[in-house]
Amino acid sequence: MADDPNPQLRAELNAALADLDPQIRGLHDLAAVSISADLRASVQEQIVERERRHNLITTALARLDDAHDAMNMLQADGYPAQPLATIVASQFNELQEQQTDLETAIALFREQASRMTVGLGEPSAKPKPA
Amino acid sequence: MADVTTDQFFPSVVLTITDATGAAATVDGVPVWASSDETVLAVTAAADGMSASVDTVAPGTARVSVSADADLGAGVVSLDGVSEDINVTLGPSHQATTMTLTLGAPSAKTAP
Repeated sequence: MADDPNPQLRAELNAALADLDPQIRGLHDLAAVSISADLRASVQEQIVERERRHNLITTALARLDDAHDAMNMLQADGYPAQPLATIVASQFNELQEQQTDLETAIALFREQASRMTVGLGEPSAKPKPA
Repeated sequence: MADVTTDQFFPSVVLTITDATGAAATVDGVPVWASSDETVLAVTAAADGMSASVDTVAPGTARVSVSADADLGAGVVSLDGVSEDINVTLGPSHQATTMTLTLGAPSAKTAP
């Protein structure tokens, strides 16, 4: 079983959810009592905002669960080990022949020149005219 | 910047051609050399274009440039190289060393 990929973040998100739940319940209760239309609109706005936040946190937690599940599957697959493959001699010989052909083809190419440097060297005295 | 006088020249200017990794590379054909100001520097390239002699002509500042085709196939990929600035000043042999006064023939003064 793989470790939780981010237990600190999970705890933080769960704590945020725990804060939001009573807020949302209370806002719904408040919207149900006898209040003015303007106040009801303000309460409703808060319900929308906090439920949106609740949904986003729930989605983030679900993605953490997905990551955890994926890590479990990776470990079950033997991760991080990835052993070399073994094949029968005939297949291995075929691979080596292909490698030789590829190397021969690659050797046909050269990297293009990309820089020319002009080295002046040291100046010399001009020969004196005869 | 390279400082020289008109009494000096660069007998063996060398061209180095490399690829992006710094390894030696070749170009298609013979690199073409030029002076940015032929009144200051005169360039005489070797037959293979890989070196040149650069003579000073007169005071001034100029550069030596080289151009070549980096594409070894049918296409053309221009590649240019340029030297540092070369500052040419007047050499001692070209500086004035003597001033001669020629009196000419004397003449009779005009009578007052």
